[in-house]
Amino acid sequence: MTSLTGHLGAPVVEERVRHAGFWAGAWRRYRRNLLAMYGLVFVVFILIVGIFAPWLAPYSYNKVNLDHALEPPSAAYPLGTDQLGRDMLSRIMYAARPMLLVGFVTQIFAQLIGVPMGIIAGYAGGALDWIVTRLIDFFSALPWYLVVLYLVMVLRPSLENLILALTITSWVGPCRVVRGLTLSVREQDYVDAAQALGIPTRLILKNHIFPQAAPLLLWSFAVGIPTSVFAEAGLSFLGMGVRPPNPSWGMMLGEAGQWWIYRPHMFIFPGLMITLSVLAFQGLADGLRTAIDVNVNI
Amino acid sequence: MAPLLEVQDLEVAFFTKDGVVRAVNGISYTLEAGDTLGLVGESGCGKSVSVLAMLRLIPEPPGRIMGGRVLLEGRDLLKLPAHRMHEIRGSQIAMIFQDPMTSLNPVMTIGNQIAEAMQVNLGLEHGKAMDRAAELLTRVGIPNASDRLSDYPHQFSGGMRQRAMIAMAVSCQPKVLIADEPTTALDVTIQAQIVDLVKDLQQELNMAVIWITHDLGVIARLARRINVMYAGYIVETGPIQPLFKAPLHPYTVGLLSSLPSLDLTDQDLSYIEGSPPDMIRLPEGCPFWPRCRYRTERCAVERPELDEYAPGHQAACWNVAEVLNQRSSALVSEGA
Repeated sequence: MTSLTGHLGAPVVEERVRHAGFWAGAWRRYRRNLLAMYGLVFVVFILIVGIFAPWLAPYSYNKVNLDHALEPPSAAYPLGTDQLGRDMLSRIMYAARPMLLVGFVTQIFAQLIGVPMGIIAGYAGGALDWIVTRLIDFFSALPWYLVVLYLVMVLRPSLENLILALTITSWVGPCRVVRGLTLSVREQDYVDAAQALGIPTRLILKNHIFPQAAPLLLWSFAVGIPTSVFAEAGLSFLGMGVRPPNPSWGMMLGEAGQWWIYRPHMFIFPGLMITLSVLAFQGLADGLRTAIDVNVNI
Repeated sequence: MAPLLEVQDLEVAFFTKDGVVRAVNGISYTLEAGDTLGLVGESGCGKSVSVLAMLRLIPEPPGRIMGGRVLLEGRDLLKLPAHRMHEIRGSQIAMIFQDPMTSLNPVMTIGNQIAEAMQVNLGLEHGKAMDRAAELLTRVGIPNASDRLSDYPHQFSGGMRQRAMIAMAVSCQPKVLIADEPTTALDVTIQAQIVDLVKDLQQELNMAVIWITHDLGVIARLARRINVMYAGYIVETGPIQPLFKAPLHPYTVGLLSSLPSLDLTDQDLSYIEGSPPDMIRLPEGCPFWPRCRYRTERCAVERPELDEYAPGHQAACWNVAEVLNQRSSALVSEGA
C-alpha cells in the first residue's frame, strides 16, 4: 500500500488500524468458556463473602449455644448448627477467610520468589541456570504434601506456618514457567537491539522480558491457588492448619466425623464449599490459559 | 590525529560441538568521523559478527573474541570492563538491525522504546524523552508523530518500523552508526527512502556509518570505501570508484559480474561457482581458491595478505596481475 501511493508521488498516508488490545481479546476468549465464567462468578462471590463476613454473617462464628447443638437446618439456622450449637452458616462464611488467605498469600510469595529466580536463571544461563534448574528438579521430586505436613508439625501448627510451608514448596511452578519463557524471549532480536542501544540488563529484564511473562504469570497464579486451598483444607482436617476456635472448612469436616450419620448437614456443607471453590479456581485458571494463548485466536 | 574508529586484527571464533568456527580472522580497518564504510560479502562471511564483536555483543559462550583491538578515539573497547560497555552502546556506537519486524519489542509502545534509550544514556526524564522521541519520529518521516508514540509496533508498516529503529539508533547522537543490512527486509521503493534518510542523518549528525550489505547496488549509493569480506577475511578494500571499475580480487570480480543489469537479455546471469567454505575447516592457503578461476598451485598452500596495488586499494590475492590482464584483454576483444 505504502509503496504504491509513494510511487505515484502522492503523500504517503498510512491507514491507521486500531486493533483491539491484548486484554480485550483475552476477555473475549475467556467469556466463551462456561466453566471459567462459573469460576469467576464463584471466586468473586467467595471473595465478597470472605471479606464482608463480619457484616454478612447472622451469628458470631464462635458463639456456643449448647441448647441448640446439632440442629438440622431450620429457619433460624439455615445450615444447621454444630456439636457446640454454633451456627454453621456463619462458620462457613468466616472459613472463607483462611482459605483465601492461604490461597492468595502463598501464591504471592511463591511468585515473588519464583519469578525473579526464573528470569535471572533463564537470562544468565550457564552455571546459575544449572543450579536453579537442579533446585527446580529437586523440589519437583519431593512429595510436597508430606513436606508441608512435616514442616507444619515441626514448626508448630498455625496458619502462618502453613503459608510458609506451602510457599517453600510452591515457588517451583512460577519459576519453571518464567525460566522457560525467558529462555525463548532472550533470543529475540529486540533483546539484541536493546542491548546494542546500551540498555542495562536490569532494564532489559524489567521492560522487555517481564512484560512477556505477565499473562503467563496470571495463569500460574490462578493454577496454584486450588493446590493451596486443598492443602489448607486437608491440613486443617488433620488438625495441622487453622487453630480452633477459628473455623475452616477442612476442620469442620473433621469435626463432623463422629456425627455425620445423624447430622449429614455438618459435612455436606463444608465439603460442598471445598469442592465448589477448588473447582472454581481450576475453572478460572483453565479459562485464563486459553484466554492468554494468542495462538488460539477464536 | 587518530581515526575515530580503528579495528586491528580482530579475530572471533565460535566453539561449537562440531568444531571451532573461525568467523572473523584478523580484520583491520579504520573509519574517520562522518565517513561511510561498506562491508560487503555473502551470508556467513563474518560481516555481522565483526561489528557485533565491536559492541561486545557476541554471545559468550559459544563465541569468543580471540584477539585484536577495537579503538574508539584511542580507547580499546575490547579491554573495557563489561559495565562500561553500556556507556559505549547507544551513545557512542549504535546499530540498526536487519529485520524491523522482529527488532522492536511487540509489547512496548514505539514511544517508550525510543525514549528508553535516551532515559538511560542521556539521563532524560520520561516526559522530556517522549518529546524528543516525537521530534525524532517526525525527523525520520513519520506523520502525526506525537499521536503515534502510543502505538505498538504491529500498528506500523515495515518501512515505518525501520524508520522507528533508525530514530532509536540516532536518538543518543552516536559517533558511529552500524547499519546491519537495514534494507534487506524492505521492498525496493522503501529501500531507497531508507538509504536517503540515513545519508541525510549522517550529514546532520556527522556520524560515521558502517553499512553492512550484500547488495552492491545499495552500497554504490552510499559508501566512500568498501571492504569486501570472504570467509572471515577482508579480501579487498578500496575507494568505491576504483573498486567497482577495476576490482582486483577474483571474488570481487565475481560479485560484480553476478549483478543483474536491466539490459540483460538472453545471456545467462553469471554466478560464482561452488559455495562458501565450511568455516570449521577453512582451506589452507587462500580461502577462495577452490572457487577461483585464476587459482595457481601457490593459492592452495599459502594465504595471501592484503597488498596495495593503487593508493588505498588493497587486495589479498597472488594473481592480481592475471585478473587485470584478463579484463584488459576482454575490453580489447569487446572493442574489436
